[in-house]
Amino acid sequence: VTESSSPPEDWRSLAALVDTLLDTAPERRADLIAEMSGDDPRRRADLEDLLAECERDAPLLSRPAAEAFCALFDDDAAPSPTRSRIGIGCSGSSVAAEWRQCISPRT
Amino acid sequence: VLKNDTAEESLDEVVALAYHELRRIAHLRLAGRDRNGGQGRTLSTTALVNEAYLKLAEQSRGKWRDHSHFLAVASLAMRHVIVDRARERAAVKRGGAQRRITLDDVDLAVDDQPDVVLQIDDALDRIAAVEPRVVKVVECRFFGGLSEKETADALGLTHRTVQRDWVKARVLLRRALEP
Repeated sequence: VTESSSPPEDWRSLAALVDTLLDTAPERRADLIAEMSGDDPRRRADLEDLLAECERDAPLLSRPAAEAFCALFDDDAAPSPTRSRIGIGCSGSSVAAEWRQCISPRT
Repeated sequence: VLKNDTAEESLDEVVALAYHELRRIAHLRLAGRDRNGGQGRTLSTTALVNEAYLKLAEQSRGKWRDHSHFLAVASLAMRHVIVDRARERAAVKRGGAQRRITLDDVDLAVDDQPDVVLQIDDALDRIAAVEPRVVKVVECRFFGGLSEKETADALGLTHRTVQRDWVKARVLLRRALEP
């Protein structure tokens, strides 16, 4: 389940597994994993990892994209081969400036 | 989501309307902000989308089933706006190693942001082939800035389904972003 670079054809079964785990009451999930993995310790570890992943936050997705990537719309933050600034402090009123390029007329 | 969900062209049309209106309103707001010396005006995703709806609901009556429908369309339009901008920036940037990202990243270097957006966009395209509803939820929550409740209303899903799809989205995106 947790093999890296899992192919897309595995994602549907992965999503189904997430459903199965989340359909089960939290206090029953350990038993469910034991039932599903049988005598296969690797399968058991994979399922436990998947359950942990279901409960794991994703900080990158915690803010709306326009805020998380506000520097995309900031002329002063245009890419430079010699500069690598940290894109923090982009919330609140400063977001407006970052939209400047986004709304310029297109041809 | 669409009023006539069999018409691909209708989706293109309403997304284009939302796309251009979002940009137009942002421009007007920024102009007002500049006249005020850059003070006191803010531009949030939510405010932008709501104002676009007020305008388009009047001008394009009949294209939107209701406010929830508009929110779904506007979220897709926001994805296009942000990804288009990332493409433009990536083209200017030229060269350099592409940074691989994880969902644990928080403060991204400015120069990395175009690549990050494009990697997420590509990952979502691949996930859409397998779990399209999950991607719709990501568009609403992440690109549209909608709450779980707004997302549920916009997509005609239960609140619980949205919560679950958001969990799936995180799991699948981690897989899709792995090198």
